[in-house]
Parts: sequence; structure tokens; C-alpha cells
Amino acid sequence: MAKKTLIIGGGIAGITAAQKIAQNGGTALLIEKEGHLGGNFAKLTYTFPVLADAKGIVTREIKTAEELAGIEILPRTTLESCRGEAGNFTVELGTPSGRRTEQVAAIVVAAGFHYMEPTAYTEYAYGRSAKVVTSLEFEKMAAEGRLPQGPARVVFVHCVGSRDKAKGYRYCSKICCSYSAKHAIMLKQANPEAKAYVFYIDIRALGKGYEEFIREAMEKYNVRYIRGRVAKVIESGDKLLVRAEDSLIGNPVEVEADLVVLASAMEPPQGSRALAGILGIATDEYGFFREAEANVRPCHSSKEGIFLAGSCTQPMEIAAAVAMGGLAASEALILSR
Amino acid sequence: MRLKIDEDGIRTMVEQSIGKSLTSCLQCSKCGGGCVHSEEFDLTPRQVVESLLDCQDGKVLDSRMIWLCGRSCSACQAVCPVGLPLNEIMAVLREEAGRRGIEPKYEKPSMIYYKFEHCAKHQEEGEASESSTGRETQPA
Ligand SMILES: Cc1cc2nc3c(=O)[nH]c(=O)nc-3n(C[C@H](O)[C@H](O)[C@H](O)COP(=O)(O)OP(=O)(O)OC[C@H]3O[C@@H](n4cnc5c(N)ncnc54)[C@H](O)[C@@H]3O)c2cc1C
Ligand code: SF4
Ligand code: SF4
Ligand code: SF4
Repeated sequence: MAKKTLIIGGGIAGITAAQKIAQNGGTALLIEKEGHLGGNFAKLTYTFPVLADAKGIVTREIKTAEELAGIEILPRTTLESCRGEAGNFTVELGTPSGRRTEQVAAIVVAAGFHYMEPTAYTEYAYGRSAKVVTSLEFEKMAAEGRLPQGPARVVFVHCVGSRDKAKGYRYCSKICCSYSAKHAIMLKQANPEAKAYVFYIDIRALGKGYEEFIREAMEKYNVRYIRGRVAKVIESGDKLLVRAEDSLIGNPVEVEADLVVLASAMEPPQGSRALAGILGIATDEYGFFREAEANVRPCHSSKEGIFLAGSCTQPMEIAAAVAMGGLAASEALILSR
Repeated sequence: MRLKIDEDGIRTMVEQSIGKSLTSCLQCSKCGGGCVHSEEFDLTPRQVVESLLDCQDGKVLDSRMIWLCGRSCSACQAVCPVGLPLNEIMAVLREEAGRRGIEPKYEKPSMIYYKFEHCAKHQEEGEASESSTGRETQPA
């Protein structure tokens, strides 16, 4: 029998890696620290760039994984120790029913990302006003049918915590331009009376159909894009005043809003440095897992036999996490035959 | 008017005195968006930085903006994603304007933050009282 692969993290990257290993004759042990699979994907309502049904897709993928004979899924489980080398690792797992030791040939780290709580952004009234939410909270509001009703004005704020070395991260979170457009479209579809404003620095929509998707937000759904990073959100009665500079005009502008949505940063998963310590692999300056070589070995960690998949390496969209999960699976299979 | 891009200008002097390169500016315009004076500016702080980078020295030194920028104000530096000290930049530019015999556009830099800096609450009231006119509101 083929030797096992341990997969850490049951988001879409880990689920995909497990599926591909099992479908190609291998066996996978998928551990997830939460009680259920799906990760951040399971918190979404629709997905860009086609407004696909997020819950439907993620449920289907989880079901496929659960039904494959070659996959054992361990919820509420974490890695406690790891010894050995490529082809022959001994790992200790902390499971709800106690400690369990396993021999595995390869390890795939798919621990995903954490969404930054923008508490440092007091200028945006986050945490002070209930009308200022993050994009992830907006997903929840949409899922629960709590989007603003009637002629409400919603302002979407790009690059909160990203591209900000003073209070956040220097990097660009890569997909918030796209999901903010998605949110503006979701708002307009749910409530055509609403007005949507997006404040951006640069629009980064690099993927098939992404640019067209954002143009559609502007042209078809009449979402107004204003170039300028929001400077302040001021509470004013039951409204919010959003102040920025329209840098294409060179003038200060103000929008009175009913809801402000902050596109916060995708940051490394919590505890990534501790996990890297247990595994003996490298992280980058932020705490994302570091690839051995950025161009042609994106899923090799700094240690033989340990592979990386998904948004635990950098902010990325679902399609990229799936591609990396598949690649990590094929690397792991080489070691498990 | 077409600007002539140049490489030699007061940029170097400004960078030396603030100890930072102006190239770190992201041109995000967060600085101008929250400034209580931005409605009176002829150049926004972001435009000052951009103009300095291309050595449009005359344009910057002749601007009203450098004189309007508040005395000991750090409102925009506090929110700037790269922490550029715009207030210090304007102070350096005023000094240089003085050396070149350029007349101040105002007697002295605005006192708003000077007057209210002792207390955040009064600072906000000060902002409200001194910036109630002329703001453009985005149409619905
Ligand atoms: C607001 C928002 C909207 C988005 N919209 C879209 C969209 O429309 N389209 C799109 O393509 N993408 C979208 N994304 C991105 C999408 O969520 C990610 O691409 C996707 O979730 C990445 O999957 P992943 O498996 O890499 O990580 P995750 O989804 O983060 O999954 C990681 C899993 O690993 C588990 N884990 C972490 N650490 C450990 C550990 N030490 N041990 C065990 N388990 C662990 C976590 O609990 C989690 O279940 C959006 C993201 C956000 C924030
Ligand atoms: S993807 Fe867009 S919103 Fe997100 S950090 Fe990059 S530029 Fe900013
Ligand atoms: S806030 Fe800072 S980075 Fe942004 S335009 Fe102003 S000076 Fe440049
Ligand atoms: S230092 Fe103060 S007055 Fe000067 S540009 Fe910045 S916020 Fe405006």
C-alpha cells in the first residue's frame, strides 16, 4: 500500500490536495483545527469572477473528499511534533480523543490565511461604529440577508492594512480589488436602489475575466470608482462621512454613507511561525510559508518532503489555491510510492 | 501646459532634511483626503511630492499650499501608509522659498492645530468651525 501524506488544513487547497492524492491511488490524512472543513471559502456567499454559488461549490468539494476511500479526515486536530525526513516522517497529532502517532511519506501544509482585524485603523471608525465592517463581515451580512435596504449608500475602501508599511503590510493582498467589485455588484443585485462607491489606489484585477468583471461593476451596475485612499470616516448622526481626495481631480471629496466596507489584508494564518518551527521549514518576513524557489517550485518548502499549498504562502484566490493543491499532491505522490 | 521633467532640484535637499526618500510615496492621496486645509490648497500634499520628484521646484515654491499647511500638524503623517512627514517637507520648502525671496502667500502657517493641539476634542471642534465652507460633496 502507498504510504500516507499528511495534509495540514482543510480549506480548498487542502481538500483539493487530499482529493488528488486519493484519486491517484494514494492515501491522505487531512487534519483541520476547526470542527469542519472549508476554511475561508465556506464563509463566502458568491465568488468572483462569475458570481458562482460559493456554499454549493464548497459543499460539493467537501462531500467528494468525504466519500473518497483514500482520505481520512480528522477535525479539531493539530500537529504536535514532527521528526524524520522525506519519505519517512513520524508525526504526533493532537486529536479530540488524545494523541496519535503516524508514519507519513510527505506533508502538505495548507493552513490558509487569517483576515486582518483592522483595529489599528481608528481613522476609519472600525470597532467604534457598527456601520463600519470588514469585507468578510459583508459576506456574512449578504449570506444572512442583512444588506442595506432602500436608497442606501455603501462605500468600499480598498487596501486597508495592505500596501501600508506603517500600520499593516507592505504587500498587496492581490484579490481585494476583485472581491470588492463582487461586493458592490452583490449589493446592486440585492438592492438596485442602493448606491455603491469604491475608493481605490490602483485597480489590480489580474486573472481571467477579472478586468472585465470590474468594468462590468462600473458600466453595467453603475458603481462609482474614485481614485484616492480614504483618509477618514467620521460618525455624523446616523450617517458616516467618508473623506478622501479624488486624486484624478486633485480635490478633497466627501461621501455620506450608510455603510462602509473595509477590504482588509489577508495575513499569514495564526500560529504560522510556530507551525513552521515544528516542521522545521522557513517563513518569509511576514510569516507566510516560504517557497524554495518562486518560479518553478512554488509548492516546495525549504525542507525536502514538505510541500506548500494555497493562501498560507501568499494572498490568493480560490483558483490559485486549487492549482497549488493539485501540484502539491503530485509532488507528495512521488514520495509515497 | 506641458511640464518639462527634470532631475536636478530641491528634492535632494528635502530628502536630506527629512531623512527619507520621496520615492516611498505611494501616491495614494490619503494625506490630502483628511487634511482640514485641503479645500484651500492649490496643490494637494500628494501633488507637492509628485512635483518634487520631477523637480518642478518653481511650481511648488510658488504654491499657496506650503504656507497653508498647519503649524506642528502631524495629522496626515499619522495616517500616511509610509509615514512621510509632510509637515516637515512643507517647512523645508517655506525656508527655501524664503531664501529665494519668494513672498509668503500667508503671514504664517495656519494655526488650527497649534490652537487645538492640547486636546483631541477641541481639535475636532476646531476642525468643524474652521472648515465648514466650500467642501464639495459627491453627488448621489
Ligand atoms: C472577503 C473575502 C472574499 C473572497 N472572495 C473570493 C472570491 O469571490 N473568489 C475567490 O476566488 N476567492 C475569494 N476569496 C479568497 C478565498 O477565501 C481564498 O482563496 C481561499 O479561502 C484559500 O483557500 P486555502 O485553502 O488556501 O485557505 P483557507 O480557506 O484559509 O483554509 C485553511 C484551513 O486551514 C485550517 N488551519 C489553519 N491552520 C491550521 C493548523 N495549524 N492545523 C490545522 N488546520 C489549520 C483553517 O482552519 C482552515 O480551515 C475571498 C477572501 C475574502 C477574505
Ligand atoms: S488587491 Fe487591490 S485592494 Fe487589495 S491590496 Fe492590492 S490594490 Fe489594494
Ligand atoms: S499619504 Fe503618504 S504615501 Fe499616500 S500620497 Fe500622501 S505622502 Fe504619499
Ligand atoms: S501636515 Fe496637516 S495641514 Fe499639512 S497637509 Fe498634512 S494634514 Fe494638512
